[in-house]
Amino acid sequence: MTSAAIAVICTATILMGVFGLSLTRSTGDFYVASRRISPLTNASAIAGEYLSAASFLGVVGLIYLWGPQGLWLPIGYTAGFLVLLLFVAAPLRRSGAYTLPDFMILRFRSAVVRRMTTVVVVLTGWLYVVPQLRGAVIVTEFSTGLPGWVGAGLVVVVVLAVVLSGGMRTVTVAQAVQYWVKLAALLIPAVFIVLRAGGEDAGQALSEPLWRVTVQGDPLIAASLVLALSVGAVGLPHVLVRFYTNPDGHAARRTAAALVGLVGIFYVIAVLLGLTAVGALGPSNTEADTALIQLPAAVLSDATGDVLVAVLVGGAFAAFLSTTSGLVVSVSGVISQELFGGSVRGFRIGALAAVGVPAGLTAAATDVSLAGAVVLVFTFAASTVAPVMLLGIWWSRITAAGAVSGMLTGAASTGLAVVVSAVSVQAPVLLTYPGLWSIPLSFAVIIAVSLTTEPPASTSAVLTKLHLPEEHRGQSRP
Amino acid sequence: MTARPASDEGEDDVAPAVRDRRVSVRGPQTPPTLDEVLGDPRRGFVAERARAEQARSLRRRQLRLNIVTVGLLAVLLVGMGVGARYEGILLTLVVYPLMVLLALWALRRARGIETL
Repeated sequence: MTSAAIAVICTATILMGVFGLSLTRSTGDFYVASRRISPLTNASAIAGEYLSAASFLGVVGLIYLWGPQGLWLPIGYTAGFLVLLLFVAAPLRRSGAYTLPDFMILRFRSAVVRRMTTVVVVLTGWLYVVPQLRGAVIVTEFSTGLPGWVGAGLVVVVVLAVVLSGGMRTVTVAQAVQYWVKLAALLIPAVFIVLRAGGEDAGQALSEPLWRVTVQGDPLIAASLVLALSVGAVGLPHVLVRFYTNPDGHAARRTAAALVGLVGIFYVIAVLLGLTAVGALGPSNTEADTALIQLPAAVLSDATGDVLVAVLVGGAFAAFLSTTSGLVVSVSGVISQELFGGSVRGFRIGALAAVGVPAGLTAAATDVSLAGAVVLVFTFAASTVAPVMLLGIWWSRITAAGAVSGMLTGAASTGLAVVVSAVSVQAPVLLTYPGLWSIPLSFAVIIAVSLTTEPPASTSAVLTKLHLPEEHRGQSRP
Repeated sequence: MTARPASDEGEDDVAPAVRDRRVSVRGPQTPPTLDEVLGDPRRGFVAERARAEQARSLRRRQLRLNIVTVGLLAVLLVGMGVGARYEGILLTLVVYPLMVLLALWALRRARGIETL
């Protein structure tokens, strides 16, 4: 039954790809879907793309593994969209740039900054696809009995089929649907499971006392997680690229505000399921990332449990497919612009690279935890591209040299933290979760270097473009 | 016939001086826009500078609002972190609707700043 659920989700995704193909018209459509998409559709599409393996399986798994400390994870993810709404959505849309490197060249007039941003975007995309494919491996092995690589291979094939045929228009329509599919796939089992677990059948262990569990744990980890996850959202290429599809700056803000709600609803359900898993599955005797899929069988013993497992597996595959295709679109767009002059052929070559490299990495690294890997990606984005974006939008004194040194510092500090915490047995908390110091460090380096160098001559004109509402623009000079 | 070359030479003497005087007269540094050619001269550098000034003031006011909002978010999260240590896990779920309210408030304020 679970194989059938996977097949249904994959077929639906491909069908939507073929259907969307007829709506694609020009190269412009191919990239940004012609900017004719409403805020709610757009927000659904972003949420559909954003809610990845880490959200669908990882949040429940981490709460199960860590206990209440894991509750900070979804809070950080949600807060990220508030940060996007406040600092990025409207100016980014008003910049009129297609991709992150486009924005950098507009703001800094520097090929070095653009190239570095391209590298960071590609790295972020690659690192982010790995946990998706890993999730497909875990779920396939656990729920169907097939070898894990079949699931990962399926994700790769479906994503390439959709992305290569339709481009972003397809993906926008498909992604918006994916959000609602994922929400339903989590909500329906949640209603059954939480009602049953909270009722009399599953015993007292789950009812009142569960809600009275107090959150313990290291406040440093909590602060580091929330900071990295909320700031990191600013540096996620597959999320940012969707803000260009809003008709104007304020619509981009409305999209971001809608996202706080859409993503929040999803996480509230995930948190309830995670807390139920703590009680229902007992001490962590199994792999945390499959906790969600084990839950129906642990709580409901009859056939209902099997159906719910199938629904959850379908939802998980929706998550793998949507996040991967979103990442592949943005990474291949960037590769195409950097190396192939933005041609559609370059986009296709880029797509192969965008999914091929992570597939190799997934095969090589077999003990990746989903939520842990995604926290790392967010910390990397939050320490490299995000500070440059935030200061570039709001500070007139930032320079290209400042941006370059900030990105290098961020990449070095997160890289160092990862290596040190990987090799040492008892790594300090702040090396395992470096966000609390690596993000402020990047900001500090950018500010210090910028103050000793000259900002680009175009600063005032660019900031005017970013911050003046469309209706105040007047006649633009040719 | 013999006077012709002499008068030509005379003109050659005068022309550089005329050209020098003409060079010293400088026109606009950038070509005028269609609007400037056809009519309203205020649609030029002056308007451009006014727009830059307006954008600058908008940027500052939005930034101030954003910092206040982030401050509120920080207070909310720290409060929740402390509260959840004593009051239990359910408190963490209250954060989500509060974040939505914060987003809606910021959305309205941001639009308000722009439409003034």
